[in-house]
Amino acid sequence: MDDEILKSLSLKMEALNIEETLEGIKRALNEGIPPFEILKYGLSPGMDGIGQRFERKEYFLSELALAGHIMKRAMDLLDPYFASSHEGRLGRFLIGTVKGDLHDIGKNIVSTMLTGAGFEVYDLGIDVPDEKFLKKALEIQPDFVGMSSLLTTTMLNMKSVIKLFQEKGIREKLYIFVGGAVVTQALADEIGADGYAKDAFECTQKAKHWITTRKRNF
Amino acid sequence: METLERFLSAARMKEPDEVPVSLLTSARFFSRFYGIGVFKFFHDPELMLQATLHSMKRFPDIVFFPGLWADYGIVVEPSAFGSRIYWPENFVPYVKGQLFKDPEEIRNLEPPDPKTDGLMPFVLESIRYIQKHAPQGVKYLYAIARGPFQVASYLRGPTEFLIDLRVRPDVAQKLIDVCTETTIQWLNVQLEVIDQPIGIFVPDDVASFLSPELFEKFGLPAYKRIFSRFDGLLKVYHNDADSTHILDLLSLCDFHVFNFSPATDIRIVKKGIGKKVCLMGNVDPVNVLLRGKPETVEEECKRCIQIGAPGGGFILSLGGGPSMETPEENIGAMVRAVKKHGRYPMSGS
Repeated sequence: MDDEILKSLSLKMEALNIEETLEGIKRALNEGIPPFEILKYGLSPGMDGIGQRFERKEYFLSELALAGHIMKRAMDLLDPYFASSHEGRLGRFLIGTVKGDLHDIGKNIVSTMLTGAGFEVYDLGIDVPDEKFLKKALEIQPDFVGMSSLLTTTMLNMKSVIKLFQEKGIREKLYIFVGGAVVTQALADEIGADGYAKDAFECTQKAKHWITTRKRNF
Repeated sequence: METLERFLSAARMKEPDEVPVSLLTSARFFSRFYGIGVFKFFHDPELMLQATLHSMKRFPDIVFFPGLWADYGIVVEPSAFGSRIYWPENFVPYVKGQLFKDPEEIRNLEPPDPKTDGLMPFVLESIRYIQKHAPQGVKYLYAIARGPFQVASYLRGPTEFLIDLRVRPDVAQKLIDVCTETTIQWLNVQLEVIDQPIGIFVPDDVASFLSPELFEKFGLPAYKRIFSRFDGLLKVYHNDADSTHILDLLSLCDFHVFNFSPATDIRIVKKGIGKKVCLMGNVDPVNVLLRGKPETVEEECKRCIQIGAPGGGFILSLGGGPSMETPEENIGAMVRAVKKHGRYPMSGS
């Protein structure tokens, strides 16, 4: 029965049906299915399906933005339950677009995919000063920090954030992802990041893979 | 053949003597080569003019598109609606925050008055100054206005705007209608001021974020409305996001020149929309022109020429504008590539 409810939920999520997805979550909660199972076996496969449709060019950025909207509303329903338990959550991911850069769509899609995969995502938004990354990292002690830049004039701001983490002695405790239209693996290596992802799906896969092989250092 | 004549010949889908080379250049590029901060460029129309002329003299084989340009960056249209504008010292200004956090505010929105609102009157005054003081033979040629999707995304927020298209389609439609009308009115007012305009230029990357279904519903009518209003002028459309999925729909939009992204395969573009629209592109401005060596640039230009140029209707350019830090020798490599590989008649013409 639970499998049926969760399978149905994942299909509604993948179809981007807002109301039916939210109804599906309420039904699953009423049936006593734990929130982390709803996330892991209902929403997460739905998000995977959305990602696959995007790669097959059946979905586009407009659909990914909508998926983010649905995921946000879904998490509004689930968050009260997660407030008392982190069971099933994969890790904490702090994310933002660096200072001077206002691009938000790609970063928002990464946030959505990570949330769907089970990460606790703290999204600092756009045009984020270095110090704000540091302050939030000290506060929430994330496993990952993800930085986005889409301009050649702002991409080196990712380097200055990493430098700030080094100066404050927390660099080695973090896995740092960088991404965005102007970012490459070579740039990631040059500025001292740990990982580069070409899109939201690669970032999610890499983060999931990495979290299973590390120990928390904080 | 003069460089501009060559450009216009290609824009008319003909084969000129050789492939024209053009760069979509704005304040960032001109101020860098003139050795001034970008903010200074915006501050003074005389500097705007001198910086632009400086690049034109330095790279005489390149058609700088749109050439003389009272360029105040992407903020002109949003400023007219009342958006908050941020001016960095050495970069282009940007829109800070969403003007319409509450979508309900959009229901009563009206287009701004281009003669009085935001930065628009300053742009008009700068156009007047530039064309009055430009040397003989250098003309101000194009009216320029951001397309409705670009402007809508600044006003509402890019992600929120995309969500509205599905969740509040009536609000999204209202915003697109107002922004479309703004684009038209803003172009018309500039055309009144420009002495001898030859065309309009409409950049609008955000349109490619829409699925084909959404673009057909919201984008096609808006673009048809804009481009059908300016017959008799050269109509140039820029979109440097991947637009592979809406190419067939864009081919119905009645513009003449398409400046497109390196993410959009030039082979597909040439076989489809390239049969009726002049292609302007699509060397990668970052990974090739900025980061590549001159020989890499030359090789990529050769590839674009070999695919795009046969039969005419092709302008060698970037898929977007050049970065501020672009090495000068890489710009020279684009010109060299044309001299070596871009002479007409060519194989496949």
